[in-house]
Amino acid sequence: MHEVLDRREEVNKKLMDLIASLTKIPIGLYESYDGHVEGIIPDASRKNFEEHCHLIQSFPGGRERCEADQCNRAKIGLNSDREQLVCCYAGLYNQLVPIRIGGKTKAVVVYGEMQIEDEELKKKSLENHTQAVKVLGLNEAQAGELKRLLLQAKKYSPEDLETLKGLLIAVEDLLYMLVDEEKRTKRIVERTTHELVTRMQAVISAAENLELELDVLNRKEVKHRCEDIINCTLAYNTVVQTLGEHLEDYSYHKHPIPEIIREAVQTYEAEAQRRGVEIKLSLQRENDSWTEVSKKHLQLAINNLVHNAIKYSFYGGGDKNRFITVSGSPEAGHYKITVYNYGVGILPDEYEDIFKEGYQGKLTEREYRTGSGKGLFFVKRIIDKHHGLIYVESRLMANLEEELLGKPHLNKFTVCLPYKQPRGGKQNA
Amino acid sequence: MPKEIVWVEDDIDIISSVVRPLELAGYNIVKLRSSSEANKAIDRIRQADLVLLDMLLPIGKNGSDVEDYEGLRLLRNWYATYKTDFPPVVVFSVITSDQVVSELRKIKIVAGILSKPARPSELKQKIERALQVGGEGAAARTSKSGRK
Repeated sequence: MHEVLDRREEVNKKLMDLIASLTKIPIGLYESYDGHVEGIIPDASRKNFEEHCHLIQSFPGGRERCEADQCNRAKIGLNSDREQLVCCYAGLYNQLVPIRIGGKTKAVVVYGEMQIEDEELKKKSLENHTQAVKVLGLNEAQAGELKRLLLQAKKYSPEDLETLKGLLIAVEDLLYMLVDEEKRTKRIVERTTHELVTRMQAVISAAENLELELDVLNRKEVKHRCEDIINCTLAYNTVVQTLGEHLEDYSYHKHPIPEIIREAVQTYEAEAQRRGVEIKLSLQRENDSWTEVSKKHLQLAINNLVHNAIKYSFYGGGDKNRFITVSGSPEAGHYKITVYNYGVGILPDEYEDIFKEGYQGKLTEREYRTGSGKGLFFVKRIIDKHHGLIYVESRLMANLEEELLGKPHLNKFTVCLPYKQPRGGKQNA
Repeated sequence: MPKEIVWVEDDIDIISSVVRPLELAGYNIVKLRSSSEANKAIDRIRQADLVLLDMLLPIGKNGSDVEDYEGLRLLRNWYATYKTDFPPVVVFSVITSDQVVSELRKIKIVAGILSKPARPSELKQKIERALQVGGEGAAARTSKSGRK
C-alpha cells in the first residue's frame, strides 16, 4: 500500500510536469496529509510562473512569502471545497480548483496568473500589491517594474482549465482505485494504463499532425517543439507502462533472447531513423544452454536500453557518428547483451548511481534530458530478478577538457543473463 | 473509389486526430464506439477495406458495461463466423501483452498489431502495409467484391 502511494506521488509529479511543459500554464498541486498542506510544484511549472512571480521571488524574503502564501491559499481551497479566485499577496489572482476523490477534497490545483477586469477585484489586487512593495522594502524602480508586470498579467482560457481538471481528476480517481483495490489484479493495472495512455495518444497525435501540416515557413520553429512534446510524452509512457510492473507476476519460460533483442530494435527503428541514428545489430543464437526469462519484463528492460542509446546519441549537423550497436552472443555460462552508443556520456563516479531510482546523469543536462530517471532503475531490477548482471562503461572520445558537457562518449551497457535458472513457472514480484 | 477503414474504438472522441493523416490521404474512416455498434454494422464492416480495432471496448449502448478484451472476443467471433472472408484487421490498442499478442496471432485475419501511443504517421504506415499484404482472405475477397 505504501509503495503504491509512493508511486501515486511519482506519477502525480510527472503528470504535473508534463502538463506544465506542454501547456505553459503555471500550475501548483497542493495536497493535505493529516491537516498539513504540502505543495508539489514541478520544475517545468516553476519556470512557467512568469516574470511577475520570478521578480517577486528574487527580492529578499520574496520566495518565502510567496510559498507560504500559496500554501495558505491552497488551504482555503481545501477547506472550502469549491472553485474560487484568490488574490496572492503580491496582487495576482489565481484560480483554485479542488480535486475530489470519493466526495472528499483531497487536493487543490492553484492555476494561473490572471488579469482581472472587475473593478472591485482590481482594487483588491492593487492593495495587495502595495502591501507587498512595503513589506519587501522595494525601491521606486523595483516597485515600478513590479507594477508594470502586474498590469500585464495574462489571461488563460476556461477551456484549458476544464481539460486540465478532467485529466487530473481522471488520474487521481484511477490511482486511488489502484490503492483501494485489495486484489491487485492485472486488469486494474491495464485499465489504469489504458486511461493514461489514451490521453497521451491525443497529445502525440496533435503534436505530430501540427508538425507535419505547418507550412514551410513556420515548420522549422515548431518542429523542434513538437518533437520535444512527443519525446516527453513517450518518456512518460515508459513510466506509465512500468507503473504496474512490480504488480505483475514474473513468469519464467524458455524464450530466445535474440528475439527479444530484435523486437526492441524493431520497436525503435522508426524513431532512430527520424533522429538520423543508425542501428547496427549483431546477434548470435543461444547455444544448447538456454536461459529462462520473464519475457514481458526482459522485453521492457532491453527496450529501455535500446531506446536510451538512441535518445542519447548525438544528432544534428557536423561529422559526428550517429550510431548504436546492439549485439547478443553466447558466452561461458551466460548470454551477453551489449548496447553501444556514441553520444552523451556517463561519468565514472556515476557507474553505480546511474541505476538508482530517479538518478539522472550529470552530463544529461540541457536538451539531452528526456527521460524520467526511472528507466535504468527498472532495468536493473528486472535483470536482478533474472539473477543477471548489468554494468556500464563510458569512454570520452575527444581530447580531455575540463568541460565534459556536450562531449561525445562511447558508452557501453552490458547485460549478462546466466544460463542456469533455479526456478521456472510463476513467481510473485 | 476511396478505401474505407472501419475503426472500432470507444475513445474516438479523445484520439480521433490519430487518423488525420489517413483522412487527408483520402481514406474514408467509419467510426464505431462499441462492440454492439460493431455487431449491428457487420455488413458494412465486411465490405470495408480494413478494420482498425481496440482491444478494450465497452459492450453496452452507452459504453457503460466494460468487459475486458471485448475486442478480442469480437475478433474471435468474426473469424469463427467468416473465416478469412473478412477484411484485414489491424489491432491498435494499449492492451498488447504477450498473452493477448499470442492469441491474436492465432486469428488469421489479424494483419498487424500496433501499440498505443503511436504517431499518426506510424499508424498510417501500418495500415498501408496491411492493405498491401492483407489478411489471408484478401485475394479471395478481392475476386469476390472487385473492390481493391
